[in-house]
Amino acid sequence: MGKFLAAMAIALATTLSAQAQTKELVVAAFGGAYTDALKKNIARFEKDNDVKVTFVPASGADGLAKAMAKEIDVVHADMAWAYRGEAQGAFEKLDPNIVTNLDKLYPKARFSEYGVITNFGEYGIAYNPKEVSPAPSSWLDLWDAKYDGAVSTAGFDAANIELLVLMAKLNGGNEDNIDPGFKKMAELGKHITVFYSQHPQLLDLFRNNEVVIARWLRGRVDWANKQGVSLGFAVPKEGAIGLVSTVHVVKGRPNTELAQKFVNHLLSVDSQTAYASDLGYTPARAGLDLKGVKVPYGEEVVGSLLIADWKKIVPKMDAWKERWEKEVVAR
Amino acid sequence: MGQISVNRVSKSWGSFVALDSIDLDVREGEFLSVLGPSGCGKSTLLRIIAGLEAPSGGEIHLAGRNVTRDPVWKRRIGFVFQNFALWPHLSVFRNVSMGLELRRTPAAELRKRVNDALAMVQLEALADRLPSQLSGGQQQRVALARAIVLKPEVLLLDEPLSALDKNLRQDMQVELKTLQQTLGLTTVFVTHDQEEALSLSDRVVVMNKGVIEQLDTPDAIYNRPVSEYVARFVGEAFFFRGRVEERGATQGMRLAEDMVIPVEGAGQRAGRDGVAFVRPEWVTLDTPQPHGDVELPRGVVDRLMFFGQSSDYLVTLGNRQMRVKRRPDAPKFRAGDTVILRCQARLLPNAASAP
Amino acid sequence: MKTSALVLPAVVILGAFFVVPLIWVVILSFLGAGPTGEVQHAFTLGNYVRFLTDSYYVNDLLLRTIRLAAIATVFSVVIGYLGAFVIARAAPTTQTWMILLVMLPLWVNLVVRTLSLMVVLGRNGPVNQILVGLGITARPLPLLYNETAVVIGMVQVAVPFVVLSVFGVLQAIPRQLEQAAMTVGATPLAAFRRVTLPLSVPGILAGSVLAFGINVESFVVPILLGGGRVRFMSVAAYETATVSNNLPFAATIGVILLIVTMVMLGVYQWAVRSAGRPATAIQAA
Repeated sequence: MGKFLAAMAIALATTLSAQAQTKELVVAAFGGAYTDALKKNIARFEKDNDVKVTFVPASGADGLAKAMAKEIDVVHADMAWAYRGEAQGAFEKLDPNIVTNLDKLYPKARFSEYGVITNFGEYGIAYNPKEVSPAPSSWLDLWDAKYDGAVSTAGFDAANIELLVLMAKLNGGNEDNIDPGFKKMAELGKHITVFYSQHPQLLDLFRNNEVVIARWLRGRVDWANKQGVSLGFAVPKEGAIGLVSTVHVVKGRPNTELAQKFVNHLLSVDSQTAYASDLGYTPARAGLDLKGVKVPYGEEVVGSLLIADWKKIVPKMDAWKERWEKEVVAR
Repeated sequence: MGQISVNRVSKSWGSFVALDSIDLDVREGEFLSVLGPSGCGKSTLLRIIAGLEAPSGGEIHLAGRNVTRDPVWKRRIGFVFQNFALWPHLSVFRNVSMGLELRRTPAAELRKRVNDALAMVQLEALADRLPSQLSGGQQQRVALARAIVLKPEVLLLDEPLSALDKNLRQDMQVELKTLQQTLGLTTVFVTHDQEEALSLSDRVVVMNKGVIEQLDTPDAIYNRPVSEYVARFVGEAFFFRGRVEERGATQGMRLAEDMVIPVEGAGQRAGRDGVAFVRPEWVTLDTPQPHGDVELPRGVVDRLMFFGQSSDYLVTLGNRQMRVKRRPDAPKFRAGDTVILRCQARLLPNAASAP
Repeated sequence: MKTSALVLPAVVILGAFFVVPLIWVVILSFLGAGPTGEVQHAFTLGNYVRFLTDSYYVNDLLLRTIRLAAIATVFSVVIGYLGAFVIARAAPTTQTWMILLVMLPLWVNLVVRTLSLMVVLGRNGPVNQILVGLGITARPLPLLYNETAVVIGMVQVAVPFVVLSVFGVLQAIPRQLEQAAMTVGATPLAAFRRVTLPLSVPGILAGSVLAFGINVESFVVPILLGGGRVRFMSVAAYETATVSNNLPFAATIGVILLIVTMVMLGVYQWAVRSAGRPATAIQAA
């Protein structure tokens, strides 16, 4: 009996000391299905690097705040928050010697020295085929007077900023000369009854025929079809708007090297394949075998995505947001 | 028909009968008390007269008018609630004036009548106060002024003095009676305090379980109760049970083999069993003589209770205890003394009411 | 000595979770924001100037927020008062069930409640089906994604609070006070108006302050029911922080809403209290 207890005590002590030596890596991600997909291949990474990876749901303002407070090791972002974090010195430069997979990515995925795009989503036009025929071919189809009151888009989100910049460009402007864009978006605003804020909300609007055409995400249109609301998805000739997920190593944390390794892990074949198979997003890595996965993929797909110059946009977002409310939303 | 006429009024909630076919006439200018323990139906009767409660059956007439179907606000009544029910957000003046405001009384007349009513209860100086700033007695007066300012056909009082302490209650009794007589108001006064009922009323109704047990003058109620219930409820009573027998010109009641008490009162024929009672002040205690009064009841003095102006002996009779008022001229007894009881007990008219 | 020691934990908790963050927000509102959202530690009135000199912020945002919250509060108080009155006059056993029914929504997540309201108010929802079915309107009414929807949503949120605060006060008013009024000739309506209503002013006051406070801070309701068009202070503050990334200006929006709300509630309390006390309307001569 005594021997048994002693053995137990030794075993316990060993376990405790082993645990004490295991490092922890805190990763802020978008949460929900996105985090679930990241967890899928995490066991091997943990084992190989003797690390425990903890996921916390944080992105955007919250993610940057946590990064600035040095509470996390790795943070996910979108274009705007990536530039803000970089400008505020929140991120460590990626080390190409550790993040060796950087070489395998499409050039468009190379955000900057301070971060990398891991995958892309596609914003296009969702439409009810019974009401919208022929299928939309251009972003400008949203402006068609036929759909007055039955067209929708979201509020001032990243994709609408892309649309705004696109409209500026189509009308002789650009990121520095945005007026033509606002003029065009204001016209769209007049046709819109509801600026959707939740995906289920837009689904309901389609289901009740209150909306027949809208700017939406490809993955969400697939989801709507599974929910029994048959919708078509069109990629406009100007190009689909890119939904961008970036990842960054937080500066000033003890395990920076591990964090770099984790970023490299996200760019590995397994992780990149999971973005496509589990989330329906287009991987940033070239040369993957995605047979049987119904996701647009390839150099051409990624190359054609509309992604504006966010470095110029970010300092203007406060002003643009105010203009959006005054010129697009106001009736 | 009187100022208030209650005809075969009943009230029941489900299977519970609160009032069972009550008949009652209150004469104009009369002060009538309704006396009974809680739950006897006295408040329900008052609320039905007021219209605060609808009768299950029967009719109410006020000043000759059938008001059975009239809601309370159409009856010309004054009502004083047990806890006064003053409106806490309104001044004394406005508590009294509300009835006049509702009748759209011209401002000058309103002011005069309210001030007159307040003067009558000596509250003119406190017209601007809120009820919460008044003493219990003052609140009582406001409630009275509120009821009389409308010159009601009848004044209905629901245990209005029970919330006051004893001294104040006695003062208010006098005031209330004076006010009632001055205004000549037909008044129904509900109370469970028998002294109050006896001292204030022209007539008293004693109620029991939804029926009127007796309706008579205070004197008759006290001295000639119709039942053991009334005798017991109004004043203190000690009961004897036995067989009534003729003893020459008088009657006696045989309580035991060797014990007979003189009785008076109609209704019991000799040879029948009956119930008789005495009040504490009807009895004289005496020292037993060796050869006299052999059949009079005997008891043992327990102790003397001193109340200031009077004192009572507690006397054990058999296994019961009775109270006897001490007479100033009578000899003094000490605890343990054996005494005989000299008295004339009163026979109750109806033996059936004995339990 | 003893009392202060007992109060200390409450003071510490209040200070840590309420006063300190509030002070930080006020300070933040007087700072500037750099091009990428970094807070600049230099005093400026710029945020207040930007808000108060722009009719979009003053009219479209602040006044709309207050107007909608006030309208919703009026409806909440009227509906809540009626509900509380019915419950206060019900039999005690029924009362328990009714109170439970009123409190039931409070146990359901606000987002879920608002989403179900969207189903109810939707183009094919029961309200429109009844309206069309009864021939009251030919086509379904646009009940969703406009100011009406936001007001309905806020009323739905605030009514239980009004019911509970008014019910407590009504319950404490003895029925005899109304009966006393009837004995001096008041009809039930007059008795209610002259006695019960003025006596329930504290409940109305508490209920409307609570309702307005809840309504003016609404966030989920305007986002979900406003269809992106009904701008609201709390939503604007949130988006200014999370989309525009201008924390100082977001703080300014919050501080302005707080100040305006406090002033309005102060004025309102004063007005209702003085209206509820016409004790000297008729003077004793």
